[in-house]
Amino acid sequence: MVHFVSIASFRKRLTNLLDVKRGVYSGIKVEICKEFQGNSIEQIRQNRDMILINDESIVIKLRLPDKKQRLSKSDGYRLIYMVMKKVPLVVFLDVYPKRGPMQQLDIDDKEINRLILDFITENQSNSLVLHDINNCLQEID
Amino acid sequence: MIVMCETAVISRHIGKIGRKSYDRRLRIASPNYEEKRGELPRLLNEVDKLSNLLHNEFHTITAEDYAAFAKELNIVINTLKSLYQESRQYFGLKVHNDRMLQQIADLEELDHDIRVFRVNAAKNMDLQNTLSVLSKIDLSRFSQK
Repeated sequence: MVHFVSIASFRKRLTNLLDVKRGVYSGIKVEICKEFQGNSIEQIRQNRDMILINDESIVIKLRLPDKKQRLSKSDGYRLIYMVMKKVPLVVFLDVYPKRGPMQQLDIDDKEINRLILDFITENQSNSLVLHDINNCLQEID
Repeated sequence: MIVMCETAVISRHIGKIGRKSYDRRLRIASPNYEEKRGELPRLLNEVDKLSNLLHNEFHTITAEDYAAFAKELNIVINTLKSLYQESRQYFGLKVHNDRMLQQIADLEELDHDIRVFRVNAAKNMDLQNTLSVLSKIDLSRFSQK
């Protein structure tokens, strides 16, 4: 079984995107879930959008479409996640749109470093949140 | 048969797009400019091929490879930006111009990611230290089925 967890800044980002007027980004959870549903951990680890690879983990900057706004993968969202190599764990680190009012063009290595540090801290303090990938990223207690 | 390394293929693609886009930019600036049917879509198809190539080769591109084509790539991006500025005056080309704008953003993102993650990440000591700490943390609770 693959475990999906998120750090606090990812959840805050998601909330902010969902709060944007007229529901511009309301399709984001559906797009994220579609990418992972039914995939094994090996399939999740194999992705050409990898940006950082080391012995323990792979950081992936996944291109997601925004079908609600008819935007292609290159124009849709960027989901930054880390998949661990030794345990079946996917960590959602960040997500941002390439278009619209909360547009972000790219992410740099300092920001990725901060996100991984957040994960390390939140893992130690047991404050990571588990998500149900088959139920629109519903948080699991 | 000559087998070219991917850096040479990338450079060749960049050169081809650079020549075509610069030539088009010169002609489109002329008051007597006449659109050649299919010319712009063909150029944009070449740009798509370059983006796909950079995307597919992302993990094999080294700092040396990047140094070999980075300047050319930046010249092409700037030439495409200038071409877009000229081209947007022709409303009949709007669909193609919108596609060109998206392609420029794609190339800029790829260039940024290659520079930041393929070339500079290994030199970023903060990031390397973080990855080292990451390799030691206990994730055993996630190994349960």
